[in-house]
Amino acid sequence: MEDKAISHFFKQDGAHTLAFYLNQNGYEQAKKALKELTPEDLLNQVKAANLRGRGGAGFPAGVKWGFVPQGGDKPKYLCVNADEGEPGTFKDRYIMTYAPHRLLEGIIISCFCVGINTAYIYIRGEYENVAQRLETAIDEARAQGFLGKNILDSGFDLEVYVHRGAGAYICGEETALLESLEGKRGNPRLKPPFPASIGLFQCPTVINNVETIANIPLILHHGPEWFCNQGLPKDGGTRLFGVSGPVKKPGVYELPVGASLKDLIFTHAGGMQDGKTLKAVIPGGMSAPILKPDEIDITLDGDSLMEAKSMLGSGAVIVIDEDASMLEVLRIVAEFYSHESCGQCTPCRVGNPWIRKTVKRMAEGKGRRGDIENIRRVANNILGKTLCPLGDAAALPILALTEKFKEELETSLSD
Amino acid sequence: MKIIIDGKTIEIEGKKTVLEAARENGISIPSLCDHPRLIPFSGCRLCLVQVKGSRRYLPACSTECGEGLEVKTRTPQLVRLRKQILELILSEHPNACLICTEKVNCDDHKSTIRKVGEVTGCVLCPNNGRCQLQDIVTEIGLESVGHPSVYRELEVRRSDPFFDRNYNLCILCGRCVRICREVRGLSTLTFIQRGPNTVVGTAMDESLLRAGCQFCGACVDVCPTGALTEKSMKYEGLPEQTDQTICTLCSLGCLMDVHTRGNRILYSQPAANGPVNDGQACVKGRFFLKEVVHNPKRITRPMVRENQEWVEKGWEETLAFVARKLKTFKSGEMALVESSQASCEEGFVLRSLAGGILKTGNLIRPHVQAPVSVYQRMMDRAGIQPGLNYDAAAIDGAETIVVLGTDIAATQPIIWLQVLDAVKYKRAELIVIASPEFSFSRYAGTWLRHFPGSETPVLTGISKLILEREEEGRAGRAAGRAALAADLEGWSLKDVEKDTGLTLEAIHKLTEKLSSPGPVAYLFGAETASRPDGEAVLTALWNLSLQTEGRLIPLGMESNERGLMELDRDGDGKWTALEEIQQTIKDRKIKALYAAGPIKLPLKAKPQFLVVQTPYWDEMAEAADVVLPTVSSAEEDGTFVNTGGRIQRCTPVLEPLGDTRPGWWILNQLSRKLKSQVTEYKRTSDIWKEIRKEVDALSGVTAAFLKEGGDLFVKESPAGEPAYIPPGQPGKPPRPTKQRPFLWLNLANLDSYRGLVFSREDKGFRLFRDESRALLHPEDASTLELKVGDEVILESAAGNFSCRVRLDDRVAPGSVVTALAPFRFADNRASHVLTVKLKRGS
Ligand SMILES: Cc1cc2nc3c(=O)[nH]c(=O)nc-3n(C[C@H](O)[C@H](O)[C@H](O)COP(=O)(O)O)c2cc1C
Ligand code: SF4
Ligand code: SF4
Ligand code: SF4
Ligand code: SF4
Ligand code: FES
Repeated sequence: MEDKAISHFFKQDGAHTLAFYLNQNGYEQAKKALKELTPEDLLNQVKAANLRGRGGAGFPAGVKWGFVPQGGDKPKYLCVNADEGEPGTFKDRYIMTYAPHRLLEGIIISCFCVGINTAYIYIRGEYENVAQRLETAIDEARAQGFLGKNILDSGFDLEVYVHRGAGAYICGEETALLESLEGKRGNPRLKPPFPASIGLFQCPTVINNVETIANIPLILHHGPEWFCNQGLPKDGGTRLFGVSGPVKKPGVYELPVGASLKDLIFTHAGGMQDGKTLKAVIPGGMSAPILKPDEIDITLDGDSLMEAKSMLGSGAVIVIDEDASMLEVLRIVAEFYSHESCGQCTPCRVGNPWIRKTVKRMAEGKGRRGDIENIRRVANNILGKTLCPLGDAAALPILALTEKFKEELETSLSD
Repeated sequence: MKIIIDGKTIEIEGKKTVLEAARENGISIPSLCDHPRLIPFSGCRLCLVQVKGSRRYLPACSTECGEGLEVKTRTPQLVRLRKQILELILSEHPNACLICTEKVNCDDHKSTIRKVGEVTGCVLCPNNGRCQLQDIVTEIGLESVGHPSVYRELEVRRSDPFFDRNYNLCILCGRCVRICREVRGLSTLTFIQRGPNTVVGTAMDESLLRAGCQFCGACVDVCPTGALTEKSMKYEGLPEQTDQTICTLCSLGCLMDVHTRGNRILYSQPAANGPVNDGQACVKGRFFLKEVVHNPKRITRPMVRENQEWVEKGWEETLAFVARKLKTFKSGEMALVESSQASCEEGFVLRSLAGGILKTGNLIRPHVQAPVSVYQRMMDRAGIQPGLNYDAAAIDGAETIVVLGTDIAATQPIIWLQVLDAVKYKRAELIVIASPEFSFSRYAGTWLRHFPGSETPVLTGISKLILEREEEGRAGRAAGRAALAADLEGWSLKDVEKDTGLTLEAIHKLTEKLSSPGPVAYLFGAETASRPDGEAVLTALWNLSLQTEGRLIPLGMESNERGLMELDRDGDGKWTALEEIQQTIKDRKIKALYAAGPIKLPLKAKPQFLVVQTPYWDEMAEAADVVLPTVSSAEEDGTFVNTGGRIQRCTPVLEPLGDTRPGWWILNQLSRKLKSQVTEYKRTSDIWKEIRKEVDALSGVTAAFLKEGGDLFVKESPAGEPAYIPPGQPGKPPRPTKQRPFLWLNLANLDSYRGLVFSREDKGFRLFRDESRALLHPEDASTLELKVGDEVILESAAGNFSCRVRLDDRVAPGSVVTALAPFRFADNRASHVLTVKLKRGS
């Protein structure tokens, strides 16, 4: 089978080794990039591929790279976001576990394109085994001359470091990630300035998700046109969807951008487990507003989910069945964001715990009339008013849950 | 550039945030986390505004103005939003009083209920009435809080000196965290925990003392709530009056806002408009000014000893008595002592008394050992007047800043902030040449740890290397390069490693840095200049500065050493050394001593007639025949010149306490009793009429300046071509011996005022900076079996000194570092490097 998919190596024995990867024509694209192509060629290809970021916000990767000023006397950095903190998300782990060299190859090409000589992989601390695997892969690649000084005699130098996070969701937010990487407390920064001009150690920096970067060798291999054709004209390629919940076959599925959500759940993931009925779907990680069963006949791409007032986010599809209590779902959501707020800005720091407390009270059977309205009022004061997007990530799902499942939630109120 | 705020077109210049633009144009946008000195943070979200073209609300404090920007600040949505955000803030802050409908009436009845530990409402809060959070609540007009409020029940931190931290009142605006990091360069405070548990604290939740706090009080001053409050303000009400004067506790002279009630200082804060301090101060000005003024040791009435008993007397009678007694001595039998913390006016009248009336040359002037004096004398001899004046620009413009041997963050904290600003935000390179590691050394690009006392060979080594590199272009600036080369001909680098403890490679590297283009500022203090070998070090430094586009910047010690130096500048350059006078007193050749400044004499050497003019009761006063009480710092009416030559007015913010008088008044009245033709001075301007005539350098001090102040510097005209000064043979630096196996470095101690030693007066100060402590490397301490707090005796050629051990791995092994208070050494030099033996005390 030809290597045309991100998931090509998943669950294959030994897929993480350099020998395996080389056998599959690994690092050929890096060679091509370094020896035959100019950074401009590369940037044009990535732009033409319409590769959107896979980390959550869905920003076109080529455009982001284009923001980095050329030349200059400061070093530039790439930070690969492997924090994978969004609840429900587990796709990047697959890439790093089974295809660490593909990620490294993507890093080499990206760095060459932007003029970067140092890359960091910021990995969530719980992924210790995966981090070790990456480190081994880096050692292998360096020993083979794919990393280090004067790579493949091209005159291009690159070092890659793995940095372990310490368990804060907020450190997945790109500017908090930079602070954390600098050894500081992971508080998001104000934007502007954007990292492309002032990022890590005050230097121009590109931050991309693992999956985004892992797509780069494929684009180079098969051409941007092929890549675009895989998905939608403005949103190329495939995406990894991590399906969890009471379906028959939970797991990671790779489907073209624009595939059907319904198909993903009922065909690829095998449909609901016996005896379970679908109640709701969270389509893009916990931050994505929830969809009711009648809303899931929808294509999986950024634009159409936005139209449905939700988001594709990190592609984590959480399936919820009729046995689940929506109050419990609400409690988990509120608990999570309250705990993970960095504490920097008022609406998020005070508002989220306030919502959490109210929901907790409701869960204890002490809900009062007006609680839901109050929750919505506070959530609306968070939405769009915070310093970083975590505020929205908390408010949006809470607003959707309290709107779409208002009746069920109201049954828990006492008078 | 034009922008539109609430329909009003506003013209603005330069880079500005919407909040700044609004403020300047009288449009108020509520804000809590913003502060003019701080980088925008945008955490409180109170200043959210609507900007045309933006879907989101934007914080005015971090949104930059752009041409044509259209901003709305008070739409109904915004008004509602602000209330709701404020409600969220107040749900974690004691809010009963803030929204209480009776709050206006309450103001009249709450005078005594503040004396409780827990603050559950404004009436119990030390910040009541001067609180920005209260102002914001009023401005936004909040009347209720829609959420149940929580009291966070955090333990109030009271174990540190000077101020307490009650985070139950904290609204997490982060101003304290940011001022400490951004302006003071310390990061003592930080946010800890996250989400709802977020609090401000220190690393590992240590005390401030252990977390490296310098107790500058900057965090207290920027805190918009009562979370950080000065201990002594806990049970105080509001000040009645605020006046500005300069702090005279060091040689810089920060402008302070002094808040008073009745004739009492409640607290002092650095003035935002301070020309030298730009809104900052140090622990002394911030927390100790009032201790200096309202000190239990203050003497408030003239006193005369009669039959071994002290008798309080009036001024007239006392001064007449002193005059009568003084007339009984011959000129040569009398001596006078001055203080470098006295005003120019006092110094001038004292000089007239000594020279013109008592006709004695025996005037002890401590300023002769001040770095600026040593430097000036040395240059004078070489026939060069390099220009001594400097201000912040001298540091701001430097690309390389060398700090030689002084703990500048402790001795000249505000000048350090200027250095920090250049290093942190303008990419200047900091080079530290010092044996101990100082708190600020972490900002150094290069730190040379040489053996204490080996500055001359270090600097000469660099000079020599530069000569060897034949950097004609740069070295050609000054005359006499060939002579310098010839002078250093015989001086070889072969011993330099052995003498200084540095590798040649390190010296080479530094040479490289110093010879790269760009102005270099060399900052030195008493640690080098006031040492017995001070002139040799300064000569080497001067020569190096000529080779490297450099400029020497002397750091000062006491508030008016420069002013008093200027008074003496046209004199014959001779002075009586302290040791000499002490000897003559012992020999009974001096029979009468008028001490208008601190001095220490062995009690048995007390002269026949001793007059002590001082604000404080101390050992000398105890031994005196007459004690004349003077005003202290903030009651002072006089003119002071800071080390950089800036002339500043100290205007009294209080009436003199009790029956105290300014020094110049006392001396003038006494002079008139001794000689009736002497003019009577009613006010300081009367004295200036004469100083102006006699001292050209200070002739800029006009009547208008005395009244209104202004930017005024000592008049100077740099003269003489900068030329190398023959260095002579550098002597061998001290090295440990068998008998005295340690090297002892005593750093300058500036923590005293007119003999009052702060760490002896105040437990808080002692905890922070104790003059009696000796810092030892932990390994040395363990070899000597000494523990923290043990008494250790430093046995040296200068005598034996008792100190308390403190362990610090930042001092070099094999060395001891102290900063003893003035007069611990007989010669009262600020700094020494000596070999010592360490012995356990009893
Ligand atoms: C609270 C928060 C958490 C985030 N966590 C992650 C994460 O774990 N992994 C990730 O790739 N992106 C995460 N993001 C998105 C990043 O900020 C950023 O947009 C992304 O890494 C950019 O990469 P991409 O353009 O390749 O998607 C998070 C964003 C927010 C606001
Ligand atoms: S929204 Fe939450 S996580 Fe983001 S800066 Fe504000 S407090 Fe921190
Ligand atoms: S900090 Fe201000 S608002 Fe809070 S209790 Fe004290 S005076 Fe009142
Ligand atoms: S007093 Fe000064 S050094 Fe100490 S925490 Fe406050 S700002 Fe920092
Ligand atoms: S202690 Fe004061 S300055 Fe510091 S965060 Fe709290 S309220 Fe703000
Ligand atoms: S003042 Fe702008 S957010 Fe606090």
